[in-house]
Order: sequence, then C-alpha cells, then structure tokens
Amino acid sequence: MKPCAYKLVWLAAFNAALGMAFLVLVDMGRDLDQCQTDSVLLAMPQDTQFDLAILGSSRAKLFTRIRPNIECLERTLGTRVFGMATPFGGGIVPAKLYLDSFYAQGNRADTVLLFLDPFMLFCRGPNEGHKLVYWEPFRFSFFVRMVREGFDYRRLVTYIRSKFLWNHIAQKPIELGRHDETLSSDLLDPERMSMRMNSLYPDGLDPAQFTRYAKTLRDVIATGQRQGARMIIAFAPTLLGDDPGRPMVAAFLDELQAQHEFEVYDFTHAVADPGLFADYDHLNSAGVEEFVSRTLKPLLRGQNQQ
Amino acid sequence: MLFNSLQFVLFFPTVAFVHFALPPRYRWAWQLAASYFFYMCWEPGYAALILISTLVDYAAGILLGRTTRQATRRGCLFFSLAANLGLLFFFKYYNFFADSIRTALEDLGFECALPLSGFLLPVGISFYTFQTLSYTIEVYRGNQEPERHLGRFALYVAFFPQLVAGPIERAPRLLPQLRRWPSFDYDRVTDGLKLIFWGLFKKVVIADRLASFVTPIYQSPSAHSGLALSTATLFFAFQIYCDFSGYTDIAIGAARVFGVDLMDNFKRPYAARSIRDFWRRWHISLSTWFRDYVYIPLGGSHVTLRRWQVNILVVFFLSGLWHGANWTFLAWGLLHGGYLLAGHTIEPVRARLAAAVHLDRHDRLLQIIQTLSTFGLVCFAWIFFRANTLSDAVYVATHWYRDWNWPQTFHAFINMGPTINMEPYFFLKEFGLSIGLIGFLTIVQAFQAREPIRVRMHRWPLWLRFGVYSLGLWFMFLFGVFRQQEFIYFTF
Repeated sequence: MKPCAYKLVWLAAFNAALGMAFLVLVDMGRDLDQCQTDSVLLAMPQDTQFDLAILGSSRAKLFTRIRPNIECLERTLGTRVFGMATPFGGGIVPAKLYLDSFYAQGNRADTVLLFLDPFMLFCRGPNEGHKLVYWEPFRFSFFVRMVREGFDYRRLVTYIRSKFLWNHIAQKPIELGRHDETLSSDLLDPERMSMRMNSLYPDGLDPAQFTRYAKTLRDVIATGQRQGARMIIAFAPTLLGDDPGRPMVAAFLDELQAQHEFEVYDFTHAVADPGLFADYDHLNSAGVEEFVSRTLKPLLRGQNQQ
Repeated sequence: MLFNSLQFVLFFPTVAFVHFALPPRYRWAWQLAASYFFYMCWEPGYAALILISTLVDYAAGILLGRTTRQATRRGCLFFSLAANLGLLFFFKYYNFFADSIRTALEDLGFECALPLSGFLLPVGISFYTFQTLSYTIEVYRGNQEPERHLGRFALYVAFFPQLVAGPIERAPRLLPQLRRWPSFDYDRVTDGLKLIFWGLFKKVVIADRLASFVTPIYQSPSAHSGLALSTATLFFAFQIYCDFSGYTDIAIGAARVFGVDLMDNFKRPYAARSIRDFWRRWHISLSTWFRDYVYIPLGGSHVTLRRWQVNILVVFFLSGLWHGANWTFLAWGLLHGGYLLAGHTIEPVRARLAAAVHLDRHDRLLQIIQTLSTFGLVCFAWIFFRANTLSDAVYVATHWYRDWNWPQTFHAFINMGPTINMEPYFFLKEFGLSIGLIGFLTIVQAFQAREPIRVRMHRWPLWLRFGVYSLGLWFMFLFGVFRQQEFIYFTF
C-alpha cells in the first residue's frame, strides 16, 4: 500500500507546489491602487495608518472605487481613506473578511465606517455566495478565513481556480472616470422601485439567515472596537426608502449598543434629489460631493448627532 | 452520496484504507456498513427498502434451495417477484399510472380522484431491484447456489460502488467475489484509480458542461431555433454518455480497488454500425438482463416472425418503462424497438443497395455511413428521452431541422447566451470548449478501440505517466463543473 500512497502524495505535492509557484509569479510586481481594481486585497497595503476605513456594499464602494470620488472624499475630509467595500451586492461576511485581513496586515484606522444596507443581513448571495472570489488574489490566510466563515466548497474551488484563468492573469488596472449619470425621472415609478427593492431580498426576510449574519455584524463591530477604532454604522442614502429588513436590523443594533460602544446613523433619506443618484441606490459623483460635504464631514468631525 | 461530491473524496479513501487494514474475513462487514452509510447519506429511511428486498430474496433463495417441489419453487419465485416489483411499482410507477388513469377517465367524462403517493423516488431502486431479482431467478433456474450468509447476500444487494446506478450485476459473477477479498495489489488498485479519475473527468468536465447548454434549451424548446435544438440534442447524446459511462467507470474503478471486477456497461456505443449493435454496446448490464429474463423466456427469435416482433416491442416497452414513469421514456423505448424491426425488415434492401454501389461489408466508407446513420437515429431517439413532456419531444422532433437559413440563424445562435442565462462571451467560450471536449472524447474512444489507454499507459515511462496525470488533474481542476450535479441515471 505504501508505494501507492507515496506516489499519490508525491503527485499531489508536486502539482500543489507548481500551482503555488505560478500564483506567486502572477501576483509578483502587481501594484494597483484602490481606484484601479475591484479587488480589496490587491490594493491593501501593509503596516499603514489610515484615518478612515470604509466597509459596505456597492453603495459604499462608489466612494473609493472612482478616483474623482475618493479625491473629493480625502480633500473634503482632509483624511487618508481606505475602501474595503464590496461591489455587486456585498454582504456583511465580505466586510468581516476584509476587516480581519486589514488588521492582520498590520494596518490601522482611526475610524471604521460601515455602510450597512439591511439586505446584507438577510441573503446568502451577498455573503458566502459573493463574486469576490473571482477578483481577489489567492492569499492562504484569506482562504482560511473563507473556510471559517462557511463558504461553500464550490466557492472555495472557484476562488483558487479562477487565479489560473486568463481573466485574472491578464488583469490590468481599470480607471473609472467621474460618474455623472443621473437617474431618469421616468424611472421613479413606485412599481419599478418596489421591484428593485425586492431584488435585494431574493431569500426574503429569513430570520435564520438574519440570526447568522447578525452574529457576523457583532464580530465586525467587536473587531473594530478591539483595535481601538471609532466604529460607525450608517444606513447609506437611497431613493428606495426604508428596506423591509430595516426594523429587524435597527432593533438588533439597539440591542447591540448596550454591549458595544459604536455610533449608528441613518442617512437613508440624507440625499433626496434624484439628480444626485446614478440609479435608485447609488450616488453619482455630484451626489458623493454633496453627501461628503454636508453629512460625512460634520459626522467625522464629531459635529453630527444621531 | 454522489461520486462527484466532496464527501466521496473523503469517504472512499477512508473505506479503502480500513478495508485493507482489516483481516479479509471481516471485510464483508466493513463493506456492508460502508455501503449502507453511503446510501443513507441520501435519505436514511429508504435504506429500509434495500433491507426488505434483501430479506425477501435471501429467504426466497434459502427456500428454493431446500425444496424440489415445483409448486413451492414457483411460489417462492412469485413471492420474490411480487415483493420486489410491488415495491418498485409503488415507489416509482404508482403516481404515473394513477395520474394516467385519472386523465383517461376524465377524457371519457368520468370524475376520478385517485390518491397520489407523496414518497420520494428511492435512488437506485430500479438497479438493486433488478439485481436481487436476477439472484432469485438464477437460484430458481438452478444456475446459482443459494447464498446462506445473510451479510454477504446483503452486500451483494447493496455493494456501494454499483448500488445506485449499476452495472446491474449477476449473482454467479458477483457473489463469489464477495467471499474472497484479495489483499492489496498495486497494479489493480492503480488501475481502479485511473478508471475513477477518467470517470470523474467525463462527468465533471464534459457531461456537466454540456448540461448547461442542454438543460435551458430543453426547458423551453419552443423559444429556440432549429439549430439550437439540434445542437442541444447532439450535446445531450454526449452528455448522457459521459454522465452514465462516467458513473460506471467510477463504479468499476472503485470496486476494482477492493478486488471486485464488475461487468462492462459500455463498449464505445456511438461507434455502433446498427441499432442492434448499439444495444450490444450501451448499458450492457441492462440489455443483457432484459435479454436473459424477458426476451429469451418469451421465445427470443425462435418463434414466428410476428411473435418475434411482439417480443422485441415488449422488451423495449419494458426497457423504456424501466427508465422512468413518463410517456417520453415509453416513446423512447418503443422508438428503439421500431428501429430494430425496421432495420430487420429493410436489411435485404440495404444489402442490395450496398452491393449496387459496390460497397463491401468491410468497406471503410460503408462503415462510416452505417455508424453515422446509427448515431443519427440514436440522437433522434434521445429527443424523447430528454424532453420533459411528450409534447415537448414532438416539438423538438418536428422543429430541429427548421430555420436553418444561414447566416441569420448562425448569428442568432452565437448571440443566444442570454437566453440560456450565459453572458455572450462566456457562452462562446463554453461552446467552443464543449466542441473541443467532444472532439477529444471521440479521439480517445477511437484510440481505445483495441486496448484501453490506461492499459497502454502501464507501458509508458514513469515521467510520462506522471505528466499525463498532472495534466489531467489540472484540466479537471480548471475546467470541471463542481456543482455536484446528480448523475442522470440516479433518477431511474
């Protein structure tokens, strides 16, 4: 039996080593900043002090993914910002993965701002089913975190194997220009807006999912607090109005505030002008400027009250 | 538990390791426990059905061995047939018949609400039922000694590599192998592992990839062009072959690791030169079962022409019914029966035609024509096998050749990605890869005509074998579809 086992182990070890060498070669010298890629890990530095770290879904990603937006943010606030939000409907699990990786790489942030969209706590898709596995580079520690967070084995396989495919190997920096698109007024139709809202809740308001992801939210808050950051949870501006999951999330946050020290703000209705939105729930660049100067700036300077 | 699941990747090496670590006299018990565990991973309660089948046929076998009275022997056989086929009927066909009767009566103007069963279809019930029946029939015929060891007989019924989708083994072949477990043999084990690997490759790289085209097109055939329908049908021909033969390879390979030789189920079926030849190469364990236990007892070919034709239709009707409780499977079975009868009827005409154009039986061109026409007929029949309803099948069968007005059809075809939930670029990439894989499979099959490639590989130097295994592993890793899709034959 020994020779057979020996050869099988040798075959597996040889191919694993070959794969690792390939991954190292591919990622060697790849230097992208946060405006050039959807990947958070590729842009994440080491041992760096930031004033503000942003977590959340695509509604938060737009602050750092588009160069004019982050320039506006850093200029207006006078701070150094690192974006760890996840595009394409990112959930709370990716937020936890990124925040853990952020600290594990020796980075620090004075303030951690989590734009919490209630749907993030109700559906599997934005969490363990997220597409981030395609664009994040292979990091063993990140892989282990994904396993711990209960990612499906098919997602884990996709995470590894997508690194050997052309899309990842030939990945080039992508610069997104100022986002001036505005929401057409004929789209402000309650039926369409309701359809958009429903699309955010493919699994409905499943209490079991909520219990599971609420625990992850608690972990995110605890992690930031442990690292001495000022933790802020904010509901991002949207034209869709209040999410159906919002009452449950708000009640949970109230409960959590008894145990942890963090601030909660509701900016759902902070921007009401449809001309400042690129679609129902994403600000355009003018909207970002407006929101940052009117709302975020006083908040981060401690002038805003809940 | 699926062969293409992570659980199996952990289960199989564990079973193999403990199997070889145990003294041979205890191995049957370990294999039996592993087999029941394997089955119970799906639905624990349904293992009781296997147990009932086992106890019924064990008792029938013992009683048959003790008596020479013909009436008692017939009674035992009847008891076994009634119990096994009764279970099969109740769990697999009851709803189908109840629904068909209700529809027929409603058509005649009668109201009739027969109660429907809410039970799931037990995985593999058709396979293990036929396997246990073959034991009782062989004991009845005197070709098999009754097995007195209940544990070993239970293992014969439930042996996990072939429990849920065959090959359907015969007692005289399998039972003796379950009495003598050989010790670890390097060549045999590595040969088994190669078969498992090749089977997995066919399933996760080829079959499941082709399924992503076939499933959405057959889900709504009327929404697709003739070109899309014919492509989906062609792809299905390779999908079902890779799916089922992939399962069989894994089953044979896994059994071989333990020293058990299972029968071949496929012999390059798409290289068949006639429908009769096809049935000697496709799902051999089932077609020989029907031959030995239905066709020959009905008189086989030693009867009048009319009676022989009826026998053929009965066998293919039952074969269709065995595959599933749906009119589409019956149509598929009867279509194959019809092919055989038509082929027999026009045989002299075909021979005269070949002679008229000076085509000798061994002529390469004639072989190619026969192979292609057989493949075409088989593909046409697959339409009925794959379609969800008989009306869908009729739609595909009457539309696959329409709208072939190039280049608009071709343009529509290459842009059909979104209609089957694929991005256009992804659709083209996957489509190209699928065609390439079908080509690769065809070349491999051609090479295997004389000798399996894995046997040839024994003669290759180590570095070359190592390189081929590594390449195969990488290809499977990069291009495998790891959705843990069930094997098609699990549902039969």
